[in-house]
Amino acid sequence: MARDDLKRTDSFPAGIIGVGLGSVSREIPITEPPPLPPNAELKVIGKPTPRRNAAAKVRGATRFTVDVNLPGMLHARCLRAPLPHAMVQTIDASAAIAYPGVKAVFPIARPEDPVSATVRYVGAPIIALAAVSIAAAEAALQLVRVTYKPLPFVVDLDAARANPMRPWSMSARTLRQPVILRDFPLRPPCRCTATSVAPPSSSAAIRPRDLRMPT
Amino acid sequence: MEDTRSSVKPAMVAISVRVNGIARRLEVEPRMTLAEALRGPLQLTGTKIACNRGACSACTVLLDANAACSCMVLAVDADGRDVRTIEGLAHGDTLHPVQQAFVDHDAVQCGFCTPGMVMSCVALTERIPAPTRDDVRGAISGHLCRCGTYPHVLAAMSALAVSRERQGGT
Repeated sequence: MARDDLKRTDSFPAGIIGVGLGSVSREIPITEPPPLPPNAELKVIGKPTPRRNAAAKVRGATRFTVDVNLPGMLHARCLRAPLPHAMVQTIDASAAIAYPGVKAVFPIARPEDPVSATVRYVGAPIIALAAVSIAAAEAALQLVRVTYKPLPFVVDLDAARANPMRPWSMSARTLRQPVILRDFPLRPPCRCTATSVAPPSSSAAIRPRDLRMPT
Repeated sequence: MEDTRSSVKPAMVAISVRVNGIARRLEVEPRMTLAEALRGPLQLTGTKIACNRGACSACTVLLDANAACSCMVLAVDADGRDVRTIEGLAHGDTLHPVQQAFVDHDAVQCGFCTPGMVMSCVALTERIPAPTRDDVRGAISGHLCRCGTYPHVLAAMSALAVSRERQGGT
């Protein structure tokens, strides 16, 4: 603390380059580092510096995460809700589970659980799966059948004003059971068992341990 | 019904493509795109897939000297054709003039759109050796660059055009 009280006087350039540069003397704390040398003597500041990886980037040699291909790597894809507000009523992922190359299916919305089954925005995740290739994952996702019960939604100001009740409370009323927001967790619905996604006939195609999600 | 769908697979198709001057033979599923074939079996990951629907141009390659979105070309349709990718532009340590211009003018940020952008600019300079700014704007108009490097790409290509005009004049 005491060192901060010590001052030294130094001179600094002042003014506008091209208009007129002068010099001023100022008192500065003694701990202040010495001023930078003139631009001509600087090696980095103010000097054009080529981007270190520019050459690799223009060659396409830079590896991005999508370019990484590790042995045994799986590719995940997620089915998303096409409606802004709905209840997921049924999910049939049996064909997706049976699709060649599919290793795991993670139900995110579970019809038996009204909290996770409530779609709250277009693009809400419904079910995710992992397969040996992107093509297999995407093809398998196409086989998932989801039925939705559409619920009212409000997307503009006029409708919001005309409707004093938020769609949120309407869904709660429709359900006749409380929807408790603080109980909407992201993790628990990801827990996955074979029976919750697959009917018994096709659950043989995939072993339960393939379905467990790493925690 | 669904079991039939998932167990029956279409036969693999043998194709032969000339990639960066080298004849490559491979077996592909009929649904595989040229972009997937390049990045997968041919291991040329310089060609990027972003939108996979022909909207972002990240996957641009030269198909018989024309810039094309390789995600919009089935690999089987590339059979017997000539494909040039970003990996085929440089000769050893010497970059293609377009690549060098990109480096000199820092027309690169994250670099994900860069291979496609470079390929479109190469196609342009092969058609018009010294393109105008509007030519360049047209050539890169289909490329989505979320970093927003367009001004530097224009600067790079303008400088290249100026140097080529100078060479042509002398």
